[in-house]
Amino acid sequence: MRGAVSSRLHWRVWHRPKQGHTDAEYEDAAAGNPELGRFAIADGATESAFAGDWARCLVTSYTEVMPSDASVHDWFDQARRRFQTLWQNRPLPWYLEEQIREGAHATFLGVQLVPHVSGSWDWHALAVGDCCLFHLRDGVLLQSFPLQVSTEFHQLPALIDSKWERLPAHRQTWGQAKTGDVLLLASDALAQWMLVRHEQNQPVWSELLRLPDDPLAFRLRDLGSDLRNDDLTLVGIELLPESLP
Amino acid sequence: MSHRAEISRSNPTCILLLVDQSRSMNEPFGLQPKRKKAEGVADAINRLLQNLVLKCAKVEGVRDYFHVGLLAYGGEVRSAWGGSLAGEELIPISRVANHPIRVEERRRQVEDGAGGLVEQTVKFPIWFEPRTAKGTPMSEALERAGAIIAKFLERYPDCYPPMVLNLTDGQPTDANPLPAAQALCALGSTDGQVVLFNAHLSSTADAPILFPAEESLLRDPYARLLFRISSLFPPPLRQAARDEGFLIEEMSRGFVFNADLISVIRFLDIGTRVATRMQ
Repeated sequence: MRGAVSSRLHWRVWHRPKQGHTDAEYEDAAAGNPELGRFAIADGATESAFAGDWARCLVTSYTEVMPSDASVHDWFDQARRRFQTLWQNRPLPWYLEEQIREGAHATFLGVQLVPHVSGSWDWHALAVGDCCLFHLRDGVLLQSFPLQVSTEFHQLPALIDSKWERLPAHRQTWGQAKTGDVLLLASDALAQWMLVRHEQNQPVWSELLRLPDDPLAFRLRDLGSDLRNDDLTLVGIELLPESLP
Repeated sequence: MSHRAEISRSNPTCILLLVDQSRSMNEPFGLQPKRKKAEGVADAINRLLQNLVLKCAKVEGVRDYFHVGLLAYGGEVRSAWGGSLAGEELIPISRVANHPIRVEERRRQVEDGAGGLVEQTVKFPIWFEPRTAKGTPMSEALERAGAIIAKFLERYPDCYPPMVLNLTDGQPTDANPLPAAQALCALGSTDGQVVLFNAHLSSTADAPILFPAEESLLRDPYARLLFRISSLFPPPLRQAARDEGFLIEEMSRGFVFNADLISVIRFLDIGTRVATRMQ
């Protein structure tokens, strides 16, 4: 079963640190696990030195842990523990000790895909903040989550705090997908830019994706100058037919 | 529009604090009779410096988004940095971070994440210590600030405009500070002119007046002078102050009259709220 899921999900990540910054300073994170059908993206809030670490802990744990019957939030507990042990017993300057004490914050978006016997897919998405999921079919946007319009983005999105013991209030949605559909997960600046272009009826999905030949060959090198200077991350997931290897 | 430049390591901005260290700073705040103004101001400044460092701290080190200066005027005008930074003028924030005089531990109430408060031990670095001397050479301090900032602007002509925050409780004893303040505020980068904010510290129990828009609200002629030499709010700070619940009008100035310790902390916080432009 898992193998079947894996072979039917083709996924790719593209990312770029904000201009003037190095790869090591990039504070978004993305991860995918086609075996479990789980994919995630997170955007660390720059105020903390450990924002990138926290974002990585969130996406890694989400994509590693399948929710049990006991708790759908097992992954969050693992993310917290992973973060707490990262810097344990290491000598740190006073300002990093203070930052550890104050914790780190990140927005988060995770999606779980489950194959249906009919060959279609059910998906479930969970979000805190303004990373967005776009569900595309034949190059047309079917759904965007959790934000639907570009004006919903603002300076202070909801964040997950590494000090919290439980996953905070979050938004969820469910959908159904068909073979050939594409799901895109984008961090805020890119997601907002995509929605602006979509609202202005400018080509966006076809510009991003080499539809129909290779939907995941993202064409993001020459993004417009109207894009906010921020870390940019895009995860693309293409749903393939069962018969393909 | 001014104040649109991004603050980055290659294009940092500058924050210069001027602190009155005249004898009267040994008196208590009007609303906090057990707290000497000199000690309260020192705590507020150390806390401000700590917050600036934390805004710039990353795992690989502290990013130099700010160059910070600390000038004291009491008897004479001098650099108020202590320890291994003694005598220096503008210092990149990474050097500030790594060279406090000492790091104390203090107890602080913090949220426990479940709606309650819990007491924790926190690090409290000390860079600036209270001391006082006779005389208030404010005019000379503003002149010196102008010279320091002019040098910074030569090096970073396109920077987010420098901020100067002046904390005083008395009248200048050297000269009318108006010409020196005007010369300071005439300096600028391609992104706008230098911004000068003033806090008048109180020994009376009267309620503070925060960021007034009209001189007529102030009866004290010296307060009027400080009002006149204070800049209007630049747009990003106006928004930050409004977000904090201050009533900021179009003509509001960066001036606080009769400031108690809480007002001093809020004044410093608003005056340095430029982090949204850090890249």
